[in-house]
Amino acid sequence: MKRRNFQLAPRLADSLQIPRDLSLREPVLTFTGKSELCVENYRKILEYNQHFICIETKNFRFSVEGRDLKIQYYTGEEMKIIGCFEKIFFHC
Amino acid sequence: MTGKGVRFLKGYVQIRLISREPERFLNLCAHAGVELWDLLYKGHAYEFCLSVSDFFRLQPFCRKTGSRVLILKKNGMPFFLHRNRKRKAFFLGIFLAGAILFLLSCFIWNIHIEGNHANTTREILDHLETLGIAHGTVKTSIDCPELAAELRREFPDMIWVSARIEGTRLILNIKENEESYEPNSEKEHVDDTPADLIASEDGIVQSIVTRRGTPAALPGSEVKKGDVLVSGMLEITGDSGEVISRRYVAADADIRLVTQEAYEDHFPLKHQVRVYQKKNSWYPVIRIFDWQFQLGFFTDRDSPQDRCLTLQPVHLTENFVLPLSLGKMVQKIYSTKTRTYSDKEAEALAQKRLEAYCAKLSKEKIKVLSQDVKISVNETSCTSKGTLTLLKEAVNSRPCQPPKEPQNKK
Repeated sequence: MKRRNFQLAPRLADSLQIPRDLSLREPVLTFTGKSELCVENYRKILEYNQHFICIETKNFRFSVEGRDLKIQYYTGEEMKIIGCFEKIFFHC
Repeated sequence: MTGKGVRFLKGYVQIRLISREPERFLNLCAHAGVELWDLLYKGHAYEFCLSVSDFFRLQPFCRKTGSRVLILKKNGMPFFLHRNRKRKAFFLGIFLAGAILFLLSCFIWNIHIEGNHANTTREILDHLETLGIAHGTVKTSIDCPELAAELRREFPDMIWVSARIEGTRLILNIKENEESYEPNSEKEHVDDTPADLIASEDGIVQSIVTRRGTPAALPGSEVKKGDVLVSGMLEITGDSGEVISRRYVAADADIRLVTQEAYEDHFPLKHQVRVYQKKNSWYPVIRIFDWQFQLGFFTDRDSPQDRCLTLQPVHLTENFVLPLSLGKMVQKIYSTKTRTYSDKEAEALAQKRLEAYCAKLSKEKIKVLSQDVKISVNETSCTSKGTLTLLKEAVNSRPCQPPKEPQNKK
């Protein structure tokens, strides 16, 4: 008999209708056009230069490629990246 | 995130980070709650801004990651004040400005009145002045509840008054009893002398509502001038209908009479007309208190002319009028010509004058029920003649005349 992949926390959060960014600390990525990205619930910056930025979250990493990338503000909970975005990759 | 204004007030620095592990440095900053902004990668180094207090917390992170930081620019109020510490007049100016602002904030500079219809703002402001409250009065000298009570005492038709001070504004919210408001109430001075109400003109009684006295006329009855409409005599009768005694009161009633009034109006067809020149000359005028200064003069003083002076008082706030008025004096030169009305023009003018007369009667609470007016135009003049049927309170008061007692036969 196969054992079911039973994950309690996500199911509980869904049943209680709690947003996953609060219950599971899932990252929230908010794009405004192709020039502004607001990232919440991230862990750390892995790499940053003016053409590339790679950010680690709890479950995955993602990277943004573009031109003139600039971090407008950077705190422990939230950061905002502005520039001209060209590619976005999610590394699972 | 801290706002730009707070950052400026607290002061912040722009620094350049030269590091082997810049990402680790940034992550350490984020975990320690150091807020960074305007982070930019520039020529193998990172430039960003952070507050002065956070800058002094960077030393352990630099040691851990082998980084060096260089201050590029110091911004904000603390650095600005430090740079200008030797400019004494500048700081004196700031201090004086603050002191003046504080001093001026202790006075009332705007009196705002809302909700008044029957009592004009000017009347209320004048009364406030008699109480010692005007623009420039010290705020602490104003007792708002006492002021509200005083206004209610002075203006009886105000049923609710709220006075409050907001900043340098004195705000008066007023609620007036509009139903009982009568601008020219003559009934306030009731004369208690026994009197009858008599008709002041011939007419037909349309309605009669008696408050005091004995009605002597019914609606629809025809009355002559001098007829008693409401008698001031009250007869008190016994059970058998016999008059026991008589009391005399001042009769009071609302009586509306339908009366006829002759209307006649005539005017000559020839009349003078002023033809004004298209171009008017003017010069500015300034009035300070009662002194008027004219900043110019007119060259043509002999031609017939109208001079029109327009002055606009300068307001500092809504009701704070300065003793300074600005305006202009306009000279309108005209020539006089004699014109004659055509028949149509004359009829239209006669009709207009009749309407103006009816409007004047309406203002006197006289209703025009019908008008039978004929307009005739002859060679020299226009005449309007006819009768107006009016509905009005054509009533006068006359002292009671007690009936003569019948002489008892002995």
